[in-house]
Amino acid sequence: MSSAEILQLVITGLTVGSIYALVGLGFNLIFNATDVINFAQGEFVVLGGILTAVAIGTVGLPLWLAAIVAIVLVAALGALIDFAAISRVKRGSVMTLAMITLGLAVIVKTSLLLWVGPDPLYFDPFTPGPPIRILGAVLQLQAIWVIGVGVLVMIALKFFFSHSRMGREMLACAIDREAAQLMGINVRATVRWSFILSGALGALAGVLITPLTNATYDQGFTLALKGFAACALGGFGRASSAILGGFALGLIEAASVAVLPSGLKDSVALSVLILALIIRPAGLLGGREERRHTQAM
Amino acid sequence: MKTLSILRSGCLLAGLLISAGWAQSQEDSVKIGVSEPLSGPASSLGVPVVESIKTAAEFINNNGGIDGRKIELVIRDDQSRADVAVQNFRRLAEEGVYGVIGPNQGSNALAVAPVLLETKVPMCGFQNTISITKLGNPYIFRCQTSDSDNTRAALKFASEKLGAKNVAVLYTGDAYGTEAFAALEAEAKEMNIPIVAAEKLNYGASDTTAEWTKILGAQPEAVILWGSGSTMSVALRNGSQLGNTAPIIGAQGVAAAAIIESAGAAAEGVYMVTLNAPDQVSPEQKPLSDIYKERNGEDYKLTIYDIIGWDAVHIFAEAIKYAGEDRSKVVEGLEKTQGLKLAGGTYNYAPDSHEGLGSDSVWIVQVKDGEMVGVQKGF
Amino acid sequence: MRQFHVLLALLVAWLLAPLAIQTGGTFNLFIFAFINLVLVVGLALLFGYAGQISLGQAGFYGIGAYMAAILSTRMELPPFIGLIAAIIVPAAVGYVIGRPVLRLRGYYLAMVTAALGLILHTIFVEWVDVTGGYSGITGIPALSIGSLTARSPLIMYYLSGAVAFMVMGLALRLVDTAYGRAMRTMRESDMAARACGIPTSKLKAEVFALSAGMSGLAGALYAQYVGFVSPESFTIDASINLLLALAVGGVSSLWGAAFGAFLLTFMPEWFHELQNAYGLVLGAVVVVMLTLEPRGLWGILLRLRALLEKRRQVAPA
Repeated sequence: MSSAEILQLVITGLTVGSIYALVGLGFNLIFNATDVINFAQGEFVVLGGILTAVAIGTVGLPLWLAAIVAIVLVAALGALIDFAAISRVKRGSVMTLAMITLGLAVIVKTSLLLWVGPDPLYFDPFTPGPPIRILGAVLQLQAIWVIGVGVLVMIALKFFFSHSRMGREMLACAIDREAAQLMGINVRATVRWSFILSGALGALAGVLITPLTNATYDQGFTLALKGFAACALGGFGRASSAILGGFALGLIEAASVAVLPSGLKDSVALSVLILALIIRPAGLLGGREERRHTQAM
Repeated sequence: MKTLSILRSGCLLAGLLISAGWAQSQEDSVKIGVSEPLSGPASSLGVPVVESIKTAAEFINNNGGIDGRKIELVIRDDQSRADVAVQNFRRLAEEGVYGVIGPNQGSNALAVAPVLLETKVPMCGFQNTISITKLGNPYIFRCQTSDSDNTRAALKFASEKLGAKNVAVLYTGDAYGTEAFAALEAEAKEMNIPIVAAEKLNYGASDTTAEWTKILGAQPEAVILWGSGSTMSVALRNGSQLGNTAPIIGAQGVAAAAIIESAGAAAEGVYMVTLNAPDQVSPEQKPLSDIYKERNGEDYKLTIYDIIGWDAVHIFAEAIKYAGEDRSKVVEGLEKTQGLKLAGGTYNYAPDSHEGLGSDSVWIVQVKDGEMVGVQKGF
Repeated sequence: MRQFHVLLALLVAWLLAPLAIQTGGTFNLFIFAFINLVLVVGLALLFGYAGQISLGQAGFYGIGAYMAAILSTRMELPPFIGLIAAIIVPAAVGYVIGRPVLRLRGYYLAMVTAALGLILHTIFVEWVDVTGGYSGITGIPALSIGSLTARSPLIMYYLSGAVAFMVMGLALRLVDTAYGRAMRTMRESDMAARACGIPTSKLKAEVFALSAGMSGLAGALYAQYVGFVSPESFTIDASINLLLALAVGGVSSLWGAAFGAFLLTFMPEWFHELQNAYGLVLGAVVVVMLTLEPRGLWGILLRLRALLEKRRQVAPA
């Protein structure tokens, strides 16, 4: 393979990896606070993209306003999900909650199909202009935005967790929820905020990636799967591992397209996930151990 | 307990007799079955087709029906899925339909082919997929152009009108795309037009940049895009994003308003092989066009889906006229159809050819200001 | 055992029902309900008793269907062989994947099975030489004894019903054996189970294999009846629907699984007017049901029974 092709591969890998990392971060937030896998995480991304597209196309808002509106709406949806469903489940377990999120994902997906139809939606890249050519590879301007904003958000999150009160409370809940509660932390509020933040992260990912790959109503579950793969690859529980896992997954996927027919790219990425889990269950960076007794049914 | 069960059986028997009698009295209606995707990914094709089928049936019924008998449509949704299509065809046969209109997708047609041999009910399908009429199945009829004509038209247009000395091909991995590609390869060889690059796209893929990068590397003078569904608008976009300047000729699957709209500026100037030029109304299209204009406004333009649904009903109506009350004669009736001029063109069937439309009905249009404008008809 | 009495009563009803059923359409629904029952009960065994969740059931369903299809069409073997292969191959795959993966926590298996389902779907689509890709495999010969063929709705009703009853009976029996008790111990506490000397990894893998084998059996039945297989029947959406059906019916109960399977089959018919909007109904049912009663319909039944018990206690004997 020529150096231009390798560079192209790296660019594509980092771009799509950035999205996977953002989705994985969203997963992580909710998982840390509730031990629940939010199957609707991918739908947040799709919603972000579609809402922005509709806001620009039908309502006529400028991009920056449309994006903010979309992100706020999806974050609100996150809060609503927690309020209406998650917080109400008394006798259930994490599995019940996970299934509820699955049911919600189906509702969101069907709603989108009914609302905007099965065709993909687009809006223009943040900055217009032809792609940059670097050493024979093509770098779209939007890709710079995706990777750039993605990395900025990840850095911001790191600061959030280490320096802000809410961030540290979230971390405390992640480490040991009962102890956190005993220390006076409002766990309920923390859960609510993790859903809100998770929704915002997902929507942001959607806004970033739609100019490149469009937003279609049924992309949600595969994205969720890849986001989960990112977390698992890096090692569940830590934000930095979701980031690492996301970029790793993106690069693996891009590499497989270069060698194999592109129809197989999802399978390759997921096969790698399965292998990784079998060989190193704690993930590349090592995740949390079984720290509390998970209730069974 | 015993009396109760006897009573129950008695009621059942009575019910059976009554319903049998009721069914008998419905014989002066002609049942035509419809199996189309009303939900699922292909629903944007199925919903307008069923609309036009209903319109056509109403039109015929209001103008004397089929020798005085009214058409009764039995409509089933195949959810864009082959297994549901198979069951639909079985259930429609049970209901005593004279024929079935549909399915829409090529793979669904291949799936229902064996069922037709079982049920002996003819179908008129909307596929361009070449192989469906080559299966040796006497019950499969095509109510569309065949991709063997469509692909040849695309190649001819590329070399003669656009002066391209070579082409590249992007096609989807389903039966529709792969068969068209095989036909393109064979015809290109015949016409001495080299295919410098060809890439298979995933049906339903949301990113085609990898495939585009590969074909642009070969610097084609024209690009032929053969497939259907949302991947087509993705492909159009990716092509323009990657700076493609070669003219694009798309398949009938690309000539959909939803795809053109979705692709935005990337669809401008793209050529497409289709069944009609929306900016022109032929005399055979006029009755349909008038109905739709009244329904939807004066500037309504007919789409492929409006036309094929309308035509299919009329084709069956003619055949049923021949068959009378004998369902087994519908196939014969269809095969005797010659020179039937309808909205899509002139339909010709014969015992050894179930194709329907020929290359004289193929149109090539171009997208100008987001609208399809006719460029050339007949190849 | 009361449960077996209920099963017996249902058996009788099932045997006699064709007297009342008129159309092939209704038979069709029951056949799919029975096939779905086998699928969902498999999930129930896995989930309810081994505490593991699977989002890849449709993948094993597909393997079973394709096995039955390929062996009887391409290789022209008698349909019976296809049926047996349809059970064994998915079970083997399940065991091999299950052994290493089931050491991990519940939702890891969820995602791994989802990934597996997606990979299998891709194989069904891409391995065109073997599976026919999107065009699928047609003309699958049906199991037949004399003139009785599995293609006829009535015969298939009895065949699939028989399989469903057998599966249900065996599953109910299994739960009561030492094996079943071991499974339930595992579900309650992995550590306690291991402390009792229960080989948890092996057991979990066996349950997974059993569940996969059952899905394969369902797949073979499907292939026999419809006579055609294609990748569109074996997508991740199908797996999700099966899991949601179990959730609504009642995760921790085999009867819940049966309810769920029937609901999954009949609800789309009841709501077929909605076409695309059906997903809203399904999702809403799941969310509302699980929020109010996490044990699903079965849980509601239990609550009713508890209520009746209380009433009976209050009233003088």
